[in-house]
Amino acid sequence: MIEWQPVILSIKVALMSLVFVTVFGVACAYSMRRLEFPAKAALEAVFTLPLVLPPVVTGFILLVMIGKNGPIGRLFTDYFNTQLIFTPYAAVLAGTVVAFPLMYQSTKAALQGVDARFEDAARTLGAGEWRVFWTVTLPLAWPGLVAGVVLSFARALGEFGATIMVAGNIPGKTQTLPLAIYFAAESNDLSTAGIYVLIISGITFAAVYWLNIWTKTKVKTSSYRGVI
Amino acid sequence: MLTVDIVKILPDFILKLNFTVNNNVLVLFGPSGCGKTTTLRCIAGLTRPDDGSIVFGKEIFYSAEEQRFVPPKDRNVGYMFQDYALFPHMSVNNNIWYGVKQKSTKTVENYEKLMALLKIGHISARPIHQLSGGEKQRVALARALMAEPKILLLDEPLSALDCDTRLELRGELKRMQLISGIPFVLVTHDADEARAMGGEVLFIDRGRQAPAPAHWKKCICAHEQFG
Repeated sequence: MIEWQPVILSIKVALMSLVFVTVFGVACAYSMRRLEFPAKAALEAVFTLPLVLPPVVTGFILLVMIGKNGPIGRLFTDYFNTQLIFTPYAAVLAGTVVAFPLMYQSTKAALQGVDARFEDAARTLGAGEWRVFWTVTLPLAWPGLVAGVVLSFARALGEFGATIMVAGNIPGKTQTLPLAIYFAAESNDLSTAGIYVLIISGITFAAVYWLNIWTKTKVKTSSYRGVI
Repeated sequence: MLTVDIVKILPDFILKLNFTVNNNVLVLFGPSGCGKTTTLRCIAGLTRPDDGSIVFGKEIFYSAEEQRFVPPKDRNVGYMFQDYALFPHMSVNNNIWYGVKQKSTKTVENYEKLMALLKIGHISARPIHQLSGGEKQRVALARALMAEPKILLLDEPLSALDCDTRLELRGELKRMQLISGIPFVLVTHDADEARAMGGEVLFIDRGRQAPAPAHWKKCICAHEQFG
């Protein structure tokens, strides 16, 4: 009988990461589209870094940041009297950071696809920037945003390297699916590892499969057809 | 009265125009890329001029001297885009009501009047991609006028339409101008259209006011001969 706890924990961690990833990803992509400043290219590179760096490197940087003596770790000790490191929330942080570039890039591409004339039209009709964003920009960028959300979820669900650095491998507390697979395989419990592999593959496949089907029907019934 | 006195540095030339519009139609006429659309965008507040001022009545929309720039949402200047820029994810009705801040008996009356005048009542529930060119144009006009603008800017309003629809809508535009009683500033590169709108015409070439081009007079002669 396999332990379901890592499965449930993984899904929880991935969903929580998704909330942060969505908010930060959309906010960053939207601001970067509107702002022009000298260090923009450098900042964009930083945003993409977690995608190309080995996750264990990202994990190391996070470990230094949120460790007992790290700047964020100390902030947590001083203000909340708690520690982030080696808790499930550290796993959420790791998932958020590694999935962020996917959300950022998807949103950026989706926003680039929104014709600025629609936003201008809304402005001349008396809409402020907030209303333009919610009623015009976001609905028109929606398909790209959904793609970003699904990919980020899959990425956060499968996160291993950064998670093990900051959340550790505490069975029942911070042991997510990928960690459980690694340690089951290492202790030669191949049947448990295999079942976990099937579960995570199934979830990820279902998410990406659904995305493909959804995108197809979206294009078919799209109200944008014939306009652009 | 709208007074426009602007300087805008464009990649190829400097746009420098000075004109006024009373409560009638002003046609900005010139070849493609002469700065007509930029002028409209400056009046609407979508583009910021580099110098000068834009004043409507007592309201200063833009003044370089006073460092004043009113954003488009606060100008209440209607803008009809060249290909209408109707929101593709909304129905005709949602497009038309977009610029209305609060629904009231007055706005409902205004809505019914516009739907009747523009003959678009029967398509109000349709999505935008099911509209013909002429219908899109009417919906865009209704959307702009529902926001009760103080000025209406029209960028090549008829260029995307076939000949018959164009003639019909030209008449409608003129009628809507008379009914609404607000100044219309219309941009076109089509001499027939510029003449037919029946307002003042401002000739523009490479960002400056220009004398009427030679073919303009020739067209008038031909027009008179056959008309």
